[in-house]
Amino acid sequence: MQPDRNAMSDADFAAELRAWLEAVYPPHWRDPVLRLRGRDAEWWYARQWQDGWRAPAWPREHGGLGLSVEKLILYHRVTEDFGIARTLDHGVKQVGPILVQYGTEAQRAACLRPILEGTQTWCQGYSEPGAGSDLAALRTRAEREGDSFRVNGQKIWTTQAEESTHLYFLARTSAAPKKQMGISLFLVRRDAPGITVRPIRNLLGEREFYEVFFDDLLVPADAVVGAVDQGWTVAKALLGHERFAQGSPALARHTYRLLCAMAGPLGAFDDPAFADRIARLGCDLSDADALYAENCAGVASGADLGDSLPIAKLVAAELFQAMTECLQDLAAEARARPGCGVSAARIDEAARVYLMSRPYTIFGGTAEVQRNIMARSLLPLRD
Amino acid sequence: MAALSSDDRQMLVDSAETLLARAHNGARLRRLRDQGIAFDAGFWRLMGDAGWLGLRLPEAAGGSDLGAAAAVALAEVMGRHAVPDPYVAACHLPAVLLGDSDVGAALATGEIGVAVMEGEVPLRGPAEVAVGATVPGGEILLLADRGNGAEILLLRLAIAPELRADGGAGGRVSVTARDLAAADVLLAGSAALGLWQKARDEAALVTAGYLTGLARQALALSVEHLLQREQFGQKLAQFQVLQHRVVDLRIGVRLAEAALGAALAAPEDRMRLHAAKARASAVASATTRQAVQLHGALGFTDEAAIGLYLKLAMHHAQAFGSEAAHRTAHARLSREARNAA
Repeated sequence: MQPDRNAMSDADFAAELRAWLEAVYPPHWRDPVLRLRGRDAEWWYARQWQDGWRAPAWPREHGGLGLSVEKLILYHRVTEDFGIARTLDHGVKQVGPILVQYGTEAQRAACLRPILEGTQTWCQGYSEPGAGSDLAALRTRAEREGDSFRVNGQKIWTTQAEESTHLYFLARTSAAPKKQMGISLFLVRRDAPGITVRPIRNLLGEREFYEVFFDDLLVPADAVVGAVDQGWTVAKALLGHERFAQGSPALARHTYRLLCAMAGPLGAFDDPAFADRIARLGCDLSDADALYAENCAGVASGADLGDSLPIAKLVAAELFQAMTECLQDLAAEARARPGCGVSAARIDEAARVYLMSRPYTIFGGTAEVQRNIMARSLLPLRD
Repeated sequence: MAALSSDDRQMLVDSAETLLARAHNGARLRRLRDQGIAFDAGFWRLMGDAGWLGLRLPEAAGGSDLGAAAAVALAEVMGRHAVPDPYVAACHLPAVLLGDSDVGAALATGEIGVAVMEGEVPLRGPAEVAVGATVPGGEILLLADRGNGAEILLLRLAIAPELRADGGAGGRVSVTARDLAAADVLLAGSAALGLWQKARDEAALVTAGYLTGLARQALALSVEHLLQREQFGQKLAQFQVLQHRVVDLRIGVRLAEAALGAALAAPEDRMRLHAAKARASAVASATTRQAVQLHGALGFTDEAAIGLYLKLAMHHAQAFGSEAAHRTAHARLSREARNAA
């Protein structure tokens, strides 16, 4: 059992978390742009578990920290301020919460503890070549055969598929009049016969996401989470978990610090064009922060947040990109002026962050699709 | 100053909605404009009767001392209804400066309005100077250094109304050295400078509230129009390009609300104030411009309400610091904070 920290004062809680990070977190990983993978990620998950800082949002009876919403917000703030690297951690962020809500006793017994210990890691099989933003158009089929399902089809954009021990995925289990119906959510071992993966190289040169192929994969019927054909509902509930944290402008703030650090030696604060651009970004960051703080307070008090969560997510993503664009332009300036005091490593970092920020308006539904969805409630058309 | 509970806030907003629904409409606005009336004394008195003009004044001056949060809540309702009367320029800003005085008491009842002089005041010879509003009694507050350091002065001078192309009204006065010499001193020294600054900051904050309420309503009017108007056989609201534009305007309004809330929650944090007024000015300007565009040719008519919002946004986006001025001030403080760290 991990310790119960809800009774602590906010200040003590933050201080203890911070002190623990200072003591155990490898300094060379203090970079919010970095994403840990493979053995590095597993080491970090195991360390969190050993020291009683794993799965902050999970209920205590399932082995998590069971933090109150206020403490959860604080947890996110402290780890962000510290500059912790990103982790995929689909086990803690996605699979655990969904099993707590929809899983059977057997499914929880098989997964929750190993996820906490960091020995069971999960990747996600949602998108398909023909089903990206339009996820419900997915065509992977799972056909009932006695006590099993036979799965055939293909997934794409599955992050860290190669090193994950398990895969959760959506497949069509029956023909239905509406495309969101007749979909089920499955859990499976990544090394099950019938699953092959192939890496896709991204713009940064990394092989971090994969295609996943199902060729007559046999999955036992008890690997379905929730009811058969109800996977869309289950998956949507999953997307809702800790959604407020997606509106955090932490990456925008990190990039703003990088660009201020570069602007100084370049004298860009005294250049009217750059100065105004940076001033604008500074105000944008302040307002994105204000919105995120309001959302956190609203989540904590149980207020109706209306469209504030999707707005904050969009604002954070687009502001992050705008920051990287300014940083990249400063880097171009620095490159043109050798001896200006900006190192080649910093210049290169700007290009990496610029590239790394691109998918933030793509994954989880493109910015355009999110605007379509928001427009539906802003402009309620009667059919 | 009493804290504003959410119940108090709601009561204030509800009573403002009721009064404005009864006493304010487009016909009044057009009458003021067509007759060149820069200050509607009758409506000002109504505002006084409703207790609005005493919100920021101490109880000793007949006010309710509810503070900036109440004034912001009220200003949001005024913005929503496109109220043109110079609440901030001729009441809130002077109220912060006046405090507990006879002039304050007259302001609270709506008997008078008080103008505030903008910019530098020349000390020698007669000069033409701009004031923020035309008030019939000619009460004017100004900050000047007559050789004894900074002083907040009160004097009475005839104000010539100045009607602007955006429909807003300011005023002009001729000041002589003798006028300045005869002025009453309200406060002197560094306290005067500090209070003057505080009053300007509050005026910017309350104006940000006004602009936020105004932008929200301009968006609502546009949404209404898009849901009604049909072209090419479908509602305008069915065109994706217009849907996305509406979403972007909504994002702007939401950011303005959040920035305003953060500034109200941290009255000592001037960076939050600058961010809030910069955002509100930008959002109100962009939203009303887009709203006119979304209304099509109708948006350029005097008859459609949306044009009133555009003009009021033009006026108040500039008042007490434009977007650019506040953004630059934000950047300056931001830089100072970085250098200090």
